[in-house]
Amino acid sequence: MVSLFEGSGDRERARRDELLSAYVDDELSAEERQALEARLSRDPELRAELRAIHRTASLMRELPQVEAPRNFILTESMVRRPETEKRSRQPRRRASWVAPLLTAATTVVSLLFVVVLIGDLLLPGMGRMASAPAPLREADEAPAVALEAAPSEERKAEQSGATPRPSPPPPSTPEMAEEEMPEEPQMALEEAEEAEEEVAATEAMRATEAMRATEAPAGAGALPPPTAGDEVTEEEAVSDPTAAPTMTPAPEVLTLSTVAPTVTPAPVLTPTIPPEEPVVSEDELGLLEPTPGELDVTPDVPDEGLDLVEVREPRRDTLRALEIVLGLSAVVLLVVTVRAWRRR
Amino acid sequence: MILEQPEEDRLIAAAQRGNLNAFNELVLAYQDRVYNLAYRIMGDPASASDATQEAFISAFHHIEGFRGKYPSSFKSWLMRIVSNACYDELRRRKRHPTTSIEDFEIEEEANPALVSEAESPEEAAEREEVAHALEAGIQTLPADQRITLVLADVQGLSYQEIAEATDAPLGTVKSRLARARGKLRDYLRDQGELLPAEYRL
Repeated sequence: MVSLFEGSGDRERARRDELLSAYVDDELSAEERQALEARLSRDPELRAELRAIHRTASLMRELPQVEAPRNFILTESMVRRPETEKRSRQPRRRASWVAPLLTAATTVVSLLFVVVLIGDLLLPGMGRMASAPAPLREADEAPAVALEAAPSEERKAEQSGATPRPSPPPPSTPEMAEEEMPEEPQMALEEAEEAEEEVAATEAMRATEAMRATEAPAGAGALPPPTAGDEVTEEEAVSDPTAAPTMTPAPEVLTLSTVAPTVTPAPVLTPTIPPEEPVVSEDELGLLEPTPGELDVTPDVPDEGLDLVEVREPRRDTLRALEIVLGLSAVVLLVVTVRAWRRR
Repeated sequence: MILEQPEEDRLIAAAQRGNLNAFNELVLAYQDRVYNLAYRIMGDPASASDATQEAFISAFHHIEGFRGKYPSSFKSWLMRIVSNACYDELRRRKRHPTTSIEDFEIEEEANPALVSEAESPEEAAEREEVAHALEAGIQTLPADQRITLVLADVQGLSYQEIAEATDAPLGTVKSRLARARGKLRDYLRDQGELLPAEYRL
């Protein structure tokens, strides 16, 4: 019996003090109290400890009441200070719901951004599938020319096929193109739109193109492949549909000048396609460039495809703008949200 | 100065509407108890005055939430605020100790309130000696134990009230109080203030 309390370990001692202390305050349950009293009756040492604790508590209670040395009445000025604290607290409270709200907004915008981004990546593929082969053969060929490094392959193929088109653009054309260059982005859009409208026209143009194609080979063959050709082709793409025609056949420029007018739509499309990569898919992903024609036109696709391609481009621009806006919004929201949480 | 309950309720309601005069009547009614608690916890008049002032200001600004959150009496609500003010001050002091023991001793000697009337000079002297020993012993306790001890033995709060005032579970209150008393007992023993002859049960 005694063993439990006889001051061995600190734990037992603490447990003993707790019982005695609560006993002094009459805060033990009836059972605890009876058990303790039974032990007390048998254990003189425990009784001594109880006396010590009781005495300590009594001394504490007997400590004289200390009176306030002065009045602690509050004045308006004393209270005012805290009032401002109160005010400053309110913004915090506001932040308490602002922060979660911002978090939600950030999440939503980020998700939208991802969705749009994915949509952007997937859409072009869909567009291709939907889009039938490009109507303009020349356009395809032109792109090959447009590409700086690549043109050679296509040319070879074409040459073998009998069409030398890929051949370099005429010196004169590049200059014109350059002049037009600054307007590129707008022009491209306009072109795309126009191209859509002209879709019907394009078919008619095919015929002319075909003619041109035949003509072109001759010219191309005559002219050596120009290194400057890339620039020219790009320019062509940029330039208005009307202007473009002249430029389009770049390599054959000299001969083309006469032919060009008929070809108009082609140039836009052509520049995009690299001769090496016949597949459009890559263009979609990697190419963000302004000119619509560049992206869409695949060298593989012979004559048609203009319509589809051009249609896609405006969509893309919209998508891109949306992506940028969403992306920026997400970043800004994230920063604001983090701050809001920190303020809390 | 003790207020009748209806009068206290009226003053509290007025204070909750921002009436500072009404609140000051409550201050006058409770300032001795508040100061006494603060003094027993802090151990010196200057800190006790600061804590008392802080507690009343804090009470005025939080009195709006009095009835809602605290079903307990205004007194125990106030004790809670004082305890918190003292606890903050003690923690602050622990980090930046400024009061030397000498300052403390001087302030102790200078406090006339420790001498109560209706005692023989010998009794008074003995009581004062014990009180000094006790006060010194209290200052050796950690803040949470000290506050618990003072709330229990100086303010006479129940364990339940202490639990509410200190935001601690009942079991914690129990063990804190036991540890505080145990340490104080040991301290008084070492000081020779707990003589067997004085034991009474």
